[in-house]
Amino acid sequence: MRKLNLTIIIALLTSTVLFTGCVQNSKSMILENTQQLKVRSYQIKKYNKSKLDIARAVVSTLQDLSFIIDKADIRTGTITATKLLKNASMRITIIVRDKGKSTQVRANAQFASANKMPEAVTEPKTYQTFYSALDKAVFLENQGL
Amino acid sequence: MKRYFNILILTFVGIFISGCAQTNAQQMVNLTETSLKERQLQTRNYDTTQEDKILTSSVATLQDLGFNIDEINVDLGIVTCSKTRDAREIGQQVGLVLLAVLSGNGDVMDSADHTQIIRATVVTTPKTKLKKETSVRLTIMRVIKNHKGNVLNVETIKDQTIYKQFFDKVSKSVFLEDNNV
Repeated sequence: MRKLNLTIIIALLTSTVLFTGCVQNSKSMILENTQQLKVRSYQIKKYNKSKLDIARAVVSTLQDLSFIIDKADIRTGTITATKLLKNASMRITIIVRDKGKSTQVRANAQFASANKMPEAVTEPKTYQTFYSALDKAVFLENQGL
Repeated sequence: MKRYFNILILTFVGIFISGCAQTNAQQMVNLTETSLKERQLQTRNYDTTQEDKILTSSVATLQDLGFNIDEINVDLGIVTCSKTRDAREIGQQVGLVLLAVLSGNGDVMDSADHTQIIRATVVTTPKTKLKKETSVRLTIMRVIKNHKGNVLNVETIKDQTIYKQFFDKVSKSVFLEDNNV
């Protein structure tokens, strides 16, 4: 009897581990329950440079990070790029917009790895890391390098 | 009782270990120490301010090398291209055939490189602050698949000779364009 109880506990534990992350209805992933304002707060950064300068800096940052550019359009300021590693992949879209005296950059990314299903990147830290790489590219561009 | 406990411990250890040494999203956008060195390796400056001319010559070079153009944007000076090619290497094939014969397991061949998709981005940038130059930066990556189409390896190319050869070809292409060839 005691053995049976233990078997049930183990089975339950294993199934909990296996099915965590599963959603009740896969259609819920179409819109996802994101908080618009919060998402924007960490995806956006402003720079006091022209739109073209920032767009070029974004492209060189993506190259620094070993991304391949999939799409680019200066009118809408859209740049989409992909990075593939053996066990992980990331797709990122960056929109550069002219906001009068400053330029606004917004990045959003999705990430997948061998033990992680593809999902939107929601950790602000990842975006901060990207923007610190962009800061360096903007600096280098300023120096004419 | 002790046996179940051991199984439980092993299960959890397995779960924890499987999370180790994995790439996370933040690492994907983190600059490495070699980033600047790679930037130099991937870049060459040409003594002209005619960015369009360098862009056209780069596209022509990519065509010389058999790439198909996927995306091009003149304003940002971006060209992205790709090609699919043979990835079979004699050494690897012979080794795996021998292994398959010795082990009697034909599935060994599933780990043999078969085809590769090569993707590259070329970006031209005017560098007019210090000198009158246009820079060209090339980044290349490739995805290697087996005969079943499963991905075996993905890598960013960092070989100096490959980049050097490409830029030499662009220089030649600029010359050819100048002479209307």
